[in-house]
Amino acid sequence: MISVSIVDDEKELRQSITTFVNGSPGFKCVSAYGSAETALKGLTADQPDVVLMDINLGGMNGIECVERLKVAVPEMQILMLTVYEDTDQIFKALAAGASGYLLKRSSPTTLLQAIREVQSGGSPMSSSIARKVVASFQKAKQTGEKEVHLSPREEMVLNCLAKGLTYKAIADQLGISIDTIRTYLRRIYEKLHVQSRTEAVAKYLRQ
Amino acid sequence: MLRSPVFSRSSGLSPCALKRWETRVCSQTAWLLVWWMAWMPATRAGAVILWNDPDTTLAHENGAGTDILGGAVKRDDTANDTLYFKFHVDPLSDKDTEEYFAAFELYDGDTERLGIGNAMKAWAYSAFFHSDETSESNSPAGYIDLHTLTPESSTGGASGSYQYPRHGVGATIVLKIQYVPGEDDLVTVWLNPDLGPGANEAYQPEGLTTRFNANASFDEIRLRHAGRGGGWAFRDLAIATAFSDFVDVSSARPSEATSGAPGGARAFNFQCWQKEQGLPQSPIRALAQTHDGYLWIGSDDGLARFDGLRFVAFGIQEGIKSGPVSTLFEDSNDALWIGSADSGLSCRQNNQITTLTTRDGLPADAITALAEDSAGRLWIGTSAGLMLRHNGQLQPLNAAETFKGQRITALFKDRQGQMWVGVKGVGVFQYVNDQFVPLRGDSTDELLKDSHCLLMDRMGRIWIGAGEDFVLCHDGDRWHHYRIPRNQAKSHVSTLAEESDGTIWAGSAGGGLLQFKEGKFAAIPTGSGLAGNLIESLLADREGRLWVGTDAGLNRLRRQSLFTLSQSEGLGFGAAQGLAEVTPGVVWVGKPNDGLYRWDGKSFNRLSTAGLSPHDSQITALLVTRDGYCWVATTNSLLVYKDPIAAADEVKVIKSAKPGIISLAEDRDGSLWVGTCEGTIWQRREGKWLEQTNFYQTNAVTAIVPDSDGSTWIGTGGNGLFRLVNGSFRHIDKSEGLLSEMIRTLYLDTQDTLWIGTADEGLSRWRNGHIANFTTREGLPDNNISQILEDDAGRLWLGSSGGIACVNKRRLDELASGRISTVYPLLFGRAEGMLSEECTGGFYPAGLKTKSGLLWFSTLKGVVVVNPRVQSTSTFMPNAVLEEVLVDGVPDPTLHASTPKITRRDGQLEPRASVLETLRITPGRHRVEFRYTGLGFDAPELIRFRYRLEGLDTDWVDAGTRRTAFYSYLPPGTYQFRVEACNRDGVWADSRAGLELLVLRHFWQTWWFITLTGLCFMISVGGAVRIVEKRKLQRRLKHLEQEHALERERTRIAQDLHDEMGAKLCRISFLSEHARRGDLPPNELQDQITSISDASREVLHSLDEIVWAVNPQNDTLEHVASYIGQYALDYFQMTGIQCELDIPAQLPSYPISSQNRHHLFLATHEALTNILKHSGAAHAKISMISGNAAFEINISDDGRGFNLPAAKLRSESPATVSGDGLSNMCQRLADIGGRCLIESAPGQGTNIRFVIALNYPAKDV
Repeated sequence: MISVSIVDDEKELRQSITTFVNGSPGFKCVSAYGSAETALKGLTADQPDVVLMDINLGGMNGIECVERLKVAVPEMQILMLTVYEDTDQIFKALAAGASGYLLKRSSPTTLLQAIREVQSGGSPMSSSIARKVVASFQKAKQTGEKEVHLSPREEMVLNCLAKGLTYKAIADQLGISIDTIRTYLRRIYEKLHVQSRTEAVAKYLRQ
Repeated sequence: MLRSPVFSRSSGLSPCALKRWETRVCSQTAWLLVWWMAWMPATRAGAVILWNDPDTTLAHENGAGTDILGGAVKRDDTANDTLYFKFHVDPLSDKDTEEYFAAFELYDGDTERLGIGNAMKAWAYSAFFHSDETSESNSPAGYIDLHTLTPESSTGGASGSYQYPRHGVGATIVLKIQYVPGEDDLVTVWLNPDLGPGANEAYQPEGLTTRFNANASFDEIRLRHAGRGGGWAFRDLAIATAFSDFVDVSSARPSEATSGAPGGARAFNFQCWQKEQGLPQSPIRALAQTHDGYLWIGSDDGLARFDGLRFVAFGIQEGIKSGPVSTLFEDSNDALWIGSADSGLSCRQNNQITTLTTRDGLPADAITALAEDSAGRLWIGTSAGLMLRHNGQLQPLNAAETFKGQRITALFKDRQGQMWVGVKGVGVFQYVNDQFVPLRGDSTDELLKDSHCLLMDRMGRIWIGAGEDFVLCHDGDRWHHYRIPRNQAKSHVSTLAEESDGTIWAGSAGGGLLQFKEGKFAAIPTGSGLAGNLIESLLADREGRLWVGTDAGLNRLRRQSLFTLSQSEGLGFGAAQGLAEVTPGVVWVGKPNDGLYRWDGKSFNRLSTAGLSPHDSQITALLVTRDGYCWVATTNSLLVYKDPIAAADEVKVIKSAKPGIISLAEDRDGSLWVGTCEGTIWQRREGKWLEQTNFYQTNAVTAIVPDSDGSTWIGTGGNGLFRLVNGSFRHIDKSEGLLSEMIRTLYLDTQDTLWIGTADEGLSRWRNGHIANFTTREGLPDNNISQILEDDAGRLWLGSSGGIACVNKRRLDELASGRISTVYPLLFGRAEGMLSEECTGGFYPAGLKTKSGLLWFSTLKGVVVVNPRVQSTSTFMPNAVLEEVLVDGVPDPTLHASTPKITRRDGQLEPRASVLETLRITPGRHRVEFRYTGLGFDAPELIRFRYRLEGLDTDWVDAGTRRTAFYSYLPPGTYQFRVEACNRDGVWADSRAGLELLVLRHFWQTWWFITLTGLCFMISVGGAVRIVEKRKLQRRLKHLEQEHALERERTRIAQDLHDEMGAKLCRISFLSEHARRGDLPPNELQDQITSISDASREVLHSLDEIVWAVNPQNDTLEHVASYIGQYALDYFQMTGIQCELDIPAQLPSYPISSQNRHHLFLATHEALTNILKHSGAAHAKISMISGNAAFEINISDDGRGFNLPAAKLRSESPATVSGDGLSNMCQRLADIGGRCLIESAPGQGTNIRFVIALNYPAKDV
């Protein structure tokens, strides 16, 4: 049973997804929050497996919530929900610690699948996101931060993803398994988190 | 001769009249006085000269003589009046040596009546006559020797009181005949009587008076001489009715000889210039004045030029050889000839110097004399002969051959144009008819051989300085020898000159300056201001004054303008107040605290008279009334002297009703007006005092002037002016225009104008009820006017507290009418010799005009006498000359004293319309300074100038006495500078001194440059405006375009929303509606709901796209690339076509507008659709390449491809919306400014390339 929590400021959507998740076997929606603040308070107690977080929330936005949540409960998996595929926002969310993202308009099956993937440790990445990740790491390299570096393998995986290759194609090309790809991705994400966190700390310190 | 109406006494003297006189016995003359009075009716009514003959008549052996009267006067036995005769005689023979008879005889027909002269038998001056009782024949037997004050000591020891007639000793005889009808007339003869000012028959010494009775009827006068000897020369014959007619008051005029007689220091007044004053060199050898007015001085070191204030030396730099200059001369071509003592003759003309020496033909290099004859030839006298210069060539004179080698000492052109030459060792010659005619004179030939200088005066006399110390004068046919007084070995007369008034002056080399006066040359005393005693040149300048060049300086003779009479003349200390002329030539001066003084022409005597007590000597005013009485007002009393000549004896003290009289006047009825210092007015009529009772004021009555119409003007010292008309007073004060009510004096002139002198506001004028005021603002020297006098030339002389001012009445009229704003009166102060400049006032009459026209002013220190005729209105116009022009402080070398060309016409200088020199000044900012001068030597520091730079100044600039005009900046252009000088009278001389200036322009100042730049400027301004406008329009256009674009975008979005979502949502709505129906079978329901779900997702998808397209955050190349890539991946996700992306990691951050994104996206969408639908490919690849200038999207597939031309054909046919749409693609790319390239071949896949130029206007506005 995968426990799921919803954070979205739209009541109808919350209800819809809650109903849908509860209606799907193997899934259970444990809580639904309308704002990041309430979510922060509640989620630490709930400790669900996956959190479905809307990027755009009233008050504190989802990305920040993700940051805080990841500080509070580092192993929580968060899946960002977004109406539009706003890569900027999505990237920020992923950098903040989200594990993946999902379009709100995705079909239910896609939704469940994504939840399952995230829960099992996969971190989905689209080519656009991959491009952004590459760019981000390149920028970090240029600024000389020695904290996080991508290993060559990881870079290759990223590049292939950016090219639009499917996991399978990448696996074929690189001679690795899909699981390995997933692991790579996870590590990339982590590094991204670290990087972004480092940036935030640095920014905080600079301030 | 003089009239003396003052002495017209209506009452003749008769025994009764005699008794009325109060006589006071004073020594032995009193009895004589009485006897005179008894016998001699002193009829002084209308003293008139009946006949006179001033010329000299020689009586020499003329027998019975001829009548000289011609019937002018005659008297017979019935006459009962008195006649006076006068004559002067110069005997040409001594009585001692010759026996003769000569006399002035009265003949009655052919009968000798009375003869005065030298009787036949007499040795001395005598009178002979017939008495009726003893009728004798023609030969007069009896004679009386005339009494004389200079008796001879007779050889016989008996001292007789008679005088011998002597040759060379003249005698004047006055004869008075009192005709007694029917009896012998009373005859009185005075031999050499005192005829000086104040002389009176009553006071002639007895010693020269002879009295007898004789019958003196006559109708002829004959001057006779018989016997040996040269005869008698009679002159100055006259017949008059009063003794005073013969009194000569000319000596009452203070002359140079009398004023300041002790020491004689002030007798002659010389201005002096020496090295200290700027005279460059000395001693002075030659003087000349050129036509423009400059004075040139030649000395041992060269030449100097003087303009009255400044000396300028001309030496080697100017081209003049620095040798001693011996002579200077200006010829009729305005060239200055400079003769030097050792280096020839130089000529200065138009600033050029040319020199002639022996090499050019001169007989010698030592030039001694220069002159020009009437033919325009220059006569050059040298130490070795005479040479002429004519038309630029030297020509010897044939007749001057005889003078070759001789020294020419003098050259002179007389008034008739004849040339006179003095040659040393030969004589003096006159050039007549090409011949030199020698001047001959008995006993003068030797002297003539040693002549030094020549002069012919206006009377035609030739004066020659000759020999050691002689001056010869050739007068007509007579020669006079004059010896100059000398006290040094060498003192020959080296130069002669004639002043404008005819005085002959001689300068001697060692004996100083000599003036010819009274028949001899008298030396000017050394203390008079002459610089030195060695005089080598004299010059009478154009103003008529004498210049003296000495060895130690330069002098100019100044006319004494003013005479001060004070302590040194016997007037004592202190102030003088009242002045009165009691008899022609005799002036009484009243001094408060000091008494009365009498001036007799030479000195003052204090009068100790009855009535003047030592305590009561506060004399305030003096008045002489028409009856000859002199009224003297003192603080306590009023004295009247009925016979001022006998002042010591006769005085009547009249106690006035009120003391403190300060003003006296006599009205036309003869009654006396008296004003007191307490403000009361009294009238004395027929011995009775009447007070003006309706005169209410308490200020002192300082002046009373009776008017000709019977009214009386009264001035008060604080209450203004009053006019008494018919017994009532009219008050004129400040409200009527008078500036001050403190009146000091009044003067009524003959034009019925009343002049008012005030104590603090100058001079006022009342005429026809209008008052005009003149104060120091208008040019008066002081505002306190105490005395007003008028001379015969219509000028007012004002005695003020700051000196004496002389101003023309016409000028005051002009001032009052506003035509001029300032007057420049002639001023006399301490500089002219006044001891005190403050004239006394506050009493009346104040100031005195004597019968001879002299003006007397009483001052705080004595009395000042001015001769107004000497101060003639100067008609002399000083010549204005522009001397120098300095540009930035550097004198312009091309300009030297640019004098206007002046023509001489009849001796008058007239300016010719001259062509002015032009001075060019380089462009730029320059300071220009004009230095000019005015040539007039009388008072050069008072010459005033005005100048004007035509082109800059709008009017004349009044420069005062400044002699520079300064301009700090002259804009480019042409100008004319003019300067004029004015004389003392304020009349501007119309000179043409000036200069034309041409200030060149910098090229950027020229008109064409300026207009060009102006045009350019205007064009550029216009252009700039245009550009700005254009840009604004462009910006507006762009803005509008943007707005338009935005509008279009909005329209598009609206359209898209409507199209995309409207339709789909409609569908959802229908499906839902349908699904709502309860009667649907479950699987249909399921289908419906699935459809709804799909449709909603589609709507979301569309919305996503629309939002992406619109969101400005996605306006970058990066976003576009990323989105398109992702979209392609998504598109091919479930289609079985493998999609690969090749997007560069870094894309330039290039902004792409939403519109462009939209078009690009749609084009890509078309391409993808084509691949999906028509290509049948298995792989698709989206690659993007970004370069500097362009961005490329390559969409390729490995499908079957197609035929391009065929596709084109197909594309041209109307395509469905979701059809091939190749043309759509190309159109879209074209819309965004890009290119669409399609490469395809059957079996080889398709490659679609989108190229977008990155320089596509990405202006951010």
